[in-house]
Amino acid sequence: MRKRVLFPRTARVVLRRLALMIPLLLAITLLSFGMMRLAGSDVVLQRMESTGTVLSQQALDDARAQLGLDRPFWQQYLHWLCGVLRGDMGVSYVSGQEVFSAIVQRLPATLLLASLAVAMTVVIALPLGILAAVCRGRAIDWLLRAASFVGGSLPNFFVALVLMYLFAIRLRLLPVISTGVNLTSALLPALTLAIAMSARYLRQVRAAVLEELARPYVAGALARGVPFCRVLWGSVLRSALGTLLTLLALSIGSLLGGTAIVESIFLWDGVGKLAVDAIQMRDYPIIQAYVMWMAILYSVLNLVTDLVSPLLDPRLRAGEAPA
Amino acid sequence: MSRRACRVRLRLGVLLVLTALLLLAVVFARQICPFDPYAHDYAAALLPPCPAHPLGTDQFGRDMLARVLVGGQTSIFSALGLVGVLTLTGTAAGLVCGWAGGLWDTLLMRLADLCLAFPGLVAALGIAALANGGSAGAVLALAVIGWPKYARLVRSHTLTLRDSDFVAAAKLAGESPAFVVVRHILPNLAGPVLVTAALDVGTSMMELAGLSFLGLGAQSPAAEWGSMMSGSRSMLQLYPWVLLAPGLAIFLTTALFNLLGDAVRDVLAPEQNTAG
Repeated sequence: MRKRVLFPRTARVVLRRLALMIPLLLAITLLSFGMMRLAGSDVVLQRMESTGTVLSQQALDDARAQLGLDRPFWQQYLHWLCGVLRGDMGVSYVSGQEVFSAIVQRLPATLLLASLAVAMTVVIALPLGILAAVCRGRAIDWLLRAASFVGGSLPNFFVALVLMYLFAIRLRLLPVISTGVNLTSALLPALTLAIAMSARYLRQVRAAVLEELARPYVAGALARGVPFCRVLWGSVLRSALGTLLTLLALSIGSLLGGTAIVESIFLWDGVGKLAVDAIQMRDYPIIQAYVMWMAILYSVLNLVTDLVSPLLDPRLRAGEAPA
Repeated sequence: MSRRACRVRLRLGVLLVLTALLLLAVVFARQICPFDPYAHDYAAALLPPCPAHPLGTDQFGRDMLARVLVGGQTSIFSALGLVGVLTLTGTAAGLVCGWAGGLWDTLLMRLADLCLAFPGLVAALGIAALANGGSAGAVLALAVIGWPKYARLVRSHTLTLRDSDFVAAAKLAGESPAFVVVRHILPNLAGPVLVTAALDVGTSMMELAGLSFLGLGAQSPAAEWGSMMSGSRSMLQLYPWVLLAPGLAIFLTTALFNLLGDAVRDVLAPEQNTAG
């Protein structure tokens, strides 16, 4: 019965949120368009600097005219917008590749990296968090909490460099920089991302398990003689998993955006590295596409989280979820 | 006061003293370490840590201790400045939204959505150029993305406070709205905002260092921990101390600020501590 009442409302919410994305995307792309133009240098100058040749003003102006960079700002933006509406996101100024295929081509690499990092986080944070909660107040709890604190205070580029030094240079187990999109190359960058996330989630899993263990039903089950392990596996773990999944869903957005530094250090050929390179070369079409992809990702993930959280926590279903 | 509350306060005191010492060391860097952080001395290049240079020297023969201390001025004070800007703008925006409501509320909250969805890297480059390079640009960029969090926090607290009995009483007593906001709303907001701000200093420092590491914040040769690490990336294999010195400086300072943030939270809002 409930499903039948719930569905039309959900559909309405989804439609309204998708409609709200249109002005958001327009504003964001216009803003980034403006910012890039204000950033001073442009791709023509950057290309000249990187090749080291000095060109005449005439040659620079010709190159700009060829790319349409000499036209007024609003004309450039409208031209770009009309292209996007026709499904044409333009061509990279630097590589000449189509922007859409450049992004789609690198998407699997970033998704592989992100999902590997998420999998590692679950494998690290869940058992250790439960262990810390069960051994509350003992040496192992203290040790795990200290480790999670240290992990949370290390910047990811420092972790990346230390891991590189240990595993690639000292132990020679893994490649220093990626040798293509494969699992061995993905291990170190994914571990870098997983360390920071695990540090954060270990504490939250521990808190969730402790809260669950303090509930009356646990004391009741134990008093009835149900073994502690069964209470832990049967009931406590399920609720802890729910907490962790919600947290992970919330962090996927920042994870996909935050891979930029790690991808650049390990030369992992994903969307983040593409964006950093494009920003340094002022490759406007790629930057615009990246901004759009981040904004869409952010909005869609927010929407999905809002839709999924009532499924995980029935209490939210009763109240009007803020749209 | 219970024994636990005493212990929490003592911890906060010790951490405040440590933070003050760190800030003093950074401010008086030139007096503590006689070496010039910018002068090249190729005869002393890449020396491992020794009595004269406790943290060694880099590829240009610059003393690492001097560079780490002077770099701390940029790294630490930009992080503090960033959190200050976030607190002020976020509180102001949140107050307007929560207190005035209506059109202002809708406009500012839509603007907040816009800023939240904007990628930090692009904002950093655009704003860094406007601010003529340097770490001010990176601070502004992170402020643009960061303020909505504070605005939402303050807005929700203001909404609750606005409907509370003591605010109604103050209004009935004939107090002006400005007086009610300053005298009754702001003091009640100070706690949650301060706790959030204290917990944010460490993260802000890491994010700023990350932008500098990518070359989007403070630029070489300026001594800043993130850009120092970026510039000496290739030294990792043979001269690790050139990399370790700024790296450990970021780690220790972030850890200190995180501990301080936890202590502030335990004193002001112990119910938010989930570590128990």
